[in-house]
Amino acid sequence: MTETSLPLRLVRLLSSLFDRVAIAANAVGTLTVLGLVVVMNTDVIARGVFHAPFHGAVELVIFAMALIVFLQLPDVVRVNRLTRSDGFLLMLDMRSPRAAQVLRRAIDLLACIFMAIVAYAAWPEFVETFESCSYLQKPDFGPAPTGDLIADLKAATARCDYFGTPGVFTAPWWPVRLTIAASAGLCAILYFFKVMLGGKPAGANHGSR
Amino acid sequence: MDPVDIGFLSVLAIVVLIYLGVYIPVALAGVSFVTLWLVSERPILAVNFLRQAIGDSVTEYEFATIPLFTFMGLIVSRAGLGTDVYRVMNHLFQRVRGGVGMATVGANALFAAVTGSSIASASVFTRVAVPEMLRLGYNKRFAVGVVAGSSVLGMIIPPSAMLIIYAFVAEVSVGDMFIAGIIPGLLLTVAYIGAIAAMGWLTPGFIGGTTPDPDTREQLSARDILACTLPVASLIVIVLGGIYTGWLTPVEAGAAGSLAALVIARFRRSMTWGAFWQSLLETGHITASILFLITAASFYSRMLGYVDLPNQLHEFLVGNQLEFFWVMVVYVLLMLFLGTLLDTASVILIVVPLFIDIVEPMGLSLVWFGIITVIGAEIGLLTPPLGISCFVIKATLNDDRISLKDVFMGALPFAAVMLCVLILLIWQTGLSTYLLN
Repeated sequence: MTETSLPLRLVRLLSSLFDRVAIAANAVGTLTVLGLVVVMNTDVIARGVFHAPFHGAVELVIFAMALIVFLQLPDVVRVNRLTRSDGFLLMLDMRSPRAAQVLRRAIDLLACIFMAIVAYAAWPEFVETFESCSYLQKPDFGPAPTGDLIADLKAATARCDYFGTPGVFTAPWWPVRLTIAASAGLCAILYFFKVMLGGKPAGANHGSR
Repeated sequence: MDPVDIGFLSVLAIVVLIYLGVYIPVALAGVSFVTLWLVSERPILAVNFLRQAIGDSVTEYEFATIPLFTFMGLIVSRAGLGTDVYRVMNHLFQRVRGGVGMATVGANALFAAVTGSSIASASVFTRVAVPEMLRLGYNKRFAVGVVAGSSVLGMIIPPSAMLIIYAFVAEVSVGDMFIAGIIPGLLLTVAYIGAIAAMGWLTPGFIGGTTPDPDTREQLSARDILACTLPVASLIVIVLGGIYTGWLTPVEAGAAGSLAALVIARFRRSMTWGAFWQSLLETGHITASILFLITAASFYSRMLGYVDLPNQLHEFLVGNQLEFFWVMVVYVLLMLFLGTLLDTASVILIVVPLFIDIVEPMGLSLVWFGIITVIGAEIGLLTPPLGISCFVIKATLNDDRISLKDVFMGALPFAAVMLCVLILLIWQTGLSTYLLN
């Protein structure tokens, strides 16, 4: 492995670039897990000790879960921990490593296509929820833009399709929808590079157990 | 071909693809997507179904139980609580033949009440219990078999990832599943200990060792015992007690348990910042893969509904005047068969949506059905060719004297005990739902 062709080096570079995006998203997701522990305990203690429940904890948790799952999914893909039964593959590794390698690439290609379909299916939801805010055009109802950027941005965000209970906790839907579509897209890209460069054996990593 | 046939073929295709090593969510959702496309002849319908499944996947409060209990389990394992309960149990059972085996079962049961994973149990107890048993002259097959058999308790005694997964697929409450898992879990524990006692009496050669074991084990004072059991006991009280009394929702119990586990780990100085971050990272990975799996399964279950397969299966079973007994025989055999090919989560996700519409009209409890399903699917953890628990033990042990075959042979008696307990639970439906009433 002294000399590698330029295209291959380029592919490797791109691949590691997307890997870094996945790692960064994962770090944000990981912090969200910590946030979840903190929020829930605040709620339990506030309710049990001070008889003052933390309103909006339920909504906040649901919102956090969506972020955790889709921010971390690409990193799960990156480290080959998406759930699979690899007994057959490991058996094949011993009999015919080449066949196993081909099968691995075929499986990753399948996963790449599927993730692309998920991204395709999820994208319109983002567009719809984003446009509901009318960030860029004149809104269908309500006051017209004032010209002050911050005030307009606030007003627009208040118009968004929201999630949660008014008066308790609300958040615009579009960041979650964007995370889902982008996450699936990134997964598709990561699988694409795995097909190109050949995935490593997953080892004994089984996410669900 | 009519839709039902296509639906049936797609279930078959999913099983084959998962066996070949296709990522489970990709196999479930990918095949479902193609099936919907073929049956409706409109690709847009398949896309819409998929969009809905993904959209719904992120709006469930109880999903938060997964990261919280996973996190708690990881912290507890890192804090060395498993080794502690093992030492205590070892002390209690030291005068009995097969005592270390019984201690392993007992320690696993206690450890299972604070973690939700069989794999965690299998790797912890392989490290502490197997060398001890080999040193005392136990049969190597028995030594690894006990660890494999009792690791299954991790998935049945709440909190358990499999009970949570079932709760989502069947749309029952996570708290109810947890409470329902207590009696069957204890029953299996007692059955294992009883089976070891019986083996010591009938086939002492299989256990090996001497009666009683040479008295070389460490002696614990009452204070040691207290110090070793108090952390686990307090976690159990917080989590299961909180849920059972209704004071905490399962999500809150998970959060409180995580915090308590962190406090314990901090107190014992067994947690570095690096290990803490690792646990968080691992929690995120596990959560993302389980929830993506559940999302794919919900899409699969919508596909089944669209091709009307569950209804047809129901009519087939009713039309043939199949009684409860035979439906259960078919169900258990199907799970045992799939359990030998696939991992536990896949078995649950594939089989439950098919049968759930049959169970309810028969007047049976979905909670009870969940316990049956989880135990039935778990037997597959112990049987070749894909008994995951056995693989983990073999990998953790890293000892050439013990082959994978030894692990499977050793686990076989315990798989048989599981089957007996499963039959008892099917027969006496009240055992699972007793604590709920």
